[in-house]
Amino acid sequence: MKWITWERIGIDRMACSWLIKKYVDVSAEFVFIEKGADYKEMDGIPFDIPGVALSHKRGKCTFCTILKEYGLNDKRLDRIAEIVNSADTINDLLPEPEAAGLDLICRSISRFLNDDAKAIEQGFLIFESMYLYFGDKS
Amino acid sequence: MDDQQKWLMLVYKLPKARTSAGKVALWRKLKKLGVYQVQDSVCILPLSDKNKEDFEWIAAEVTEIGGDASVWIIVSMTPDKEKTARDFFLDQVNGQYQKIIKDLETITDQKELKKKWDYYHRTKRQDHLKSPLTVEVKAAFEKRSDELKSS
Repeated sequence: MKWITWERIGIDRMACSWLIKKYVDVSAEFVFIEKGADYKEMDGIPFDIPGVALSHKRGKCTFCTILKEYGLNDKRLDRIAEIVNSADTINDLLPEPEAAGLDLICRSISRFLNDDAKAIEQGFLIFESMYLYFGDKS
Repeated sequence: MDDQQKWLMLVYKLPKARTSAGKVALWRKLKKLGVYQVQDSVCILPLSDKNKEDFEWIAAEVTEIGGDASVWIIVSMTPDKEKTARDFFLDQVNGQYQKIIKDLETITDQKELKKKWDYYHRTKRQDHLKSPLTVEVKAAFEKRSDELKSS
């Protein structure tokens, strides 16, 4: 299945791509479109684009929406969701201490690779490692 | 024009309906971002990747609750108004930074110091123009931390 999102990805779309590939669709193929481009005629599922089903919901990031939508219950994923949400949305909660650092890492990888397909591969490594790490730790 | 400060402008129109959770959430978010409200329904932030994303999502949320919104990258043609905006952003954080420096004097344990440090980082999120005062705030934290350790 094709998964469509805006180009120049950041922390939320990087984390979502990993989540989708790992839990929702192992053969997921990601398509990056220009910001604001029309995706309605395209074949695939749009995510993290304003107004689509898999997007920010009730002020929470798209990663949180996908967890909920696909019923993914896993404390380690919840932990990642807290960090991603803290970095990606404007909220009243105390910021997770990891959020600013992880946001910077994702942002700089995306900027300097200047290639979204390559950036999500790096994202796979980052989020898979974090996921395993949280498993070991708890 | 190239070296002139670039700004992001959010122009929005809220749905006519009475105050809703969506509207309240929007106001809170704008406040949290520390925007400069130029006029009703027009606010600006200095241009940055993060601010751009935040404004774009807010615009999308306004549309979602039935309003209308757009985001623009602009430069000012009126230097005095630009100065007002600049001063707003700097004053907003400098006031808080000064208060933090003052509060540090009365802090007596590491736990309180840590809480203040977290608060400082939250304040820093609104420091869009990178106030030079951060150097002093950091120095004040280090000084107080050393004092607490040696006492």
